[in-house]
Amino acid sequence: MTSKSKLIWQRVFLYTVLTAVTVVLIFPFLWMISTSLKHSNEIFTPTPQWIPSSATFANYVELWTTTPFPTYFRNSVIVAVATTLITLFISTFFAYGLSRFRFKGRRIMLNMLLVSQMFPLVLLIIPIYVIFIRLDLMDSFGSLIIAYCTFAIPFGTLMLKSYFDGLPPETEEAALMDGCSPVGAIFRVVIPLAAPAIAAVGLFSFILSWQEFIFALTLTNSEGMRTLPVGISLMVGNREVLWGMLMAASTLVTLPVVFLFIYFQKYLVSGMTMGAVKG
Amino acid sequence: MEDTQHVEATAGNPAVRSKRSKMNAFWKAALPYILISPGVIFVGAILIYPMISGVISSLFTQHPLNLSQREFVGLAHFKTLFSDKIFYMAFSNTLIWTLGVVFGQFALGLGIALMLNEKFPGRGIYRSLILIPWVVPMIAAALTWKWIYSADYGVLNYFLKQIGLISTNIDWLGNPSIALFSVIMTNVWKGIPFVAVVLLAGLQSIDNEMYEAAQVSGANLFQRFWYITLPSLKGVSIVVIVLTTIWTFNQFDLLYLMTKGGPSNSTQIIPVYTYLNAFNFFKMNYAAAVSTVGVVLLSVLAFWHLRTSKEEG
Repeated sequence: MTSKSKLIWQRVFLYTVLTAVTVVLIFPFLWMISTSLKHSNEIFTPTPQWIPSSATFANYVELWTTTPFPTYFRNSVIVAVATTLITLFISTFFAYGLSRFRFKGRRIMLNMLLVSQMFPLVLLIIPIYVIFIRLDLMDSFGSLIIAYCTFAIPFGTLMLKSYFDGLPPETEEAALMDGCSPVGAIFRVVIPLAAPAIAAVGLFSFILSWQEFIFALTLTNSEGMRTLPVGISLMVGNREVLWGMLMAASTLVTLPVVFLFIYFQKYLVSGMTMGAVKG
Repeated sequence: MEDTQHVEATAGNPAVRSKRSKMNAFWKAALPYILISPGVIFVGAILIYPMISGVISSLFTQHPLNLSQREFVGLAHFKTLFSDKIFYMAFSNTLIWTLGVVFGQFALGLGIALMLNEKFPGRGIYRSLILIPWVVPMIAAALTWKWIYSADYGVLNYFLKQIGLISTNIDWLGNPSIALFSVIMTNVWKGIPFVAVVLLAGLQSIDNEMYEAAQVSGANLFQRFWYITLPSLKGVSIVVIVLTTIWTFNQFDLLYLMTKGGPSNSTQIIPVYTYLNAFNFFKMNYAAAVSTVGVVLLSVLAFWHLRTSKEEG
């Protein structure tokens, strides 16, 4: 075989395998959307239709008008946005402090942040539940926002710290020489330079709180406080399993995340590998 | 450790430093503490304190209604664990679950990373598409797979019947002997993108000249993989395996949403058993003991991870 035809066969093989793998990986996602667009007589059939014969938004309309789904959606937005803002505020300064200064206990703090990523949330939730009952914080947005910060802040801090570590200190030095105050240098030089990493952390904390399940399940108990994951999970038990409506709900909880991801993919993937590889 | 000081200021130009006012000197001394204190307070109050008190609560028994009333019972809960059959099931299931998921994710993720490391037109599209499982929120993933696995109308049974692998429908989540396998498959699916993307980053940092040199000296594809690719990926692989092991070991959402530990505890794992004890059976302190066993197991891994990441930072 000539090397050229060998290369073509390698390409054909690569495309075939890769396409097969990709189809398997995205099939559940497509199946979710496809089911959500079907009438129930097409859903419960022994021979599944890959593409709905007559696409319908009936499941979405029913979901939005006959269930508390809009409330869940609103609650999730409130909690995720608030968590993101608090996380960005606290972890940017925390990370900057840990990256640029040496002080007693710095090493211990970094280790604590790393350990917290490995600690089982399930065990954490027991004391948090007890504390929130004592503080009378149960079943409130506050309880969820505070609880979500427990995983968003350590994660954001570590990720931003590794980004700040990579920024040469000379950047602020130059600003200080020009008469900028140390705080001014952070706001005018460091934060703008770190904007991609900050955006990635913001998106991560938004996505994490958007889909968080166990804290929301434990810390809320009234219909008006439920977030999307908990609300949707409770819809399963309400009546016979209405797969069309559940898939519509799953699609609506997924699409915002997918769009954010596609749009910010570059930052997210580099942030993800940075956070994971440099921990 | 070291005293408080502005790292780069000590290296700065003395002439510039002398120009700074006293106010700046104060700022310089106080700034690190001002910057970190919100983080320290927050993390201390909502993370460190609950983490410690979670482990400590395994040594107490609390009144289920009056949570402030508690009695020290020492290791009594841990003794109970030894005679708790469900705990044993949860323990061995957790090991099977973790090993199965981590192995599956790593093997398939590495395969995908190797393919995506080739240069070919359309690579970017494949790379974006394979990220989808990772992006789908856990609740949507759990429900969609429940639907795919459904015994009566599930598309998986339909597909397997079409290609002739099975003749009667399988109850993927309802059959105790395969339910754990089914949930493992779902979690493997969910985690492949992360492993693939991180390993791909590792592959791309390998110097191409090494491959060229190997090719010149006559190494075949397999030899190049075995002697260059794998050793170069060692560091990043360790990180990935440690992280996925920790995440899988602590994973609660997927199993709770898909099976709640059932049928007949065949998918019971430590996090779910912890949750059920605490919030369904109202045995908070026993739950803490169950989870503490998990913490002890994971700390071995955690300490190792801390040591390997110590060189950095």
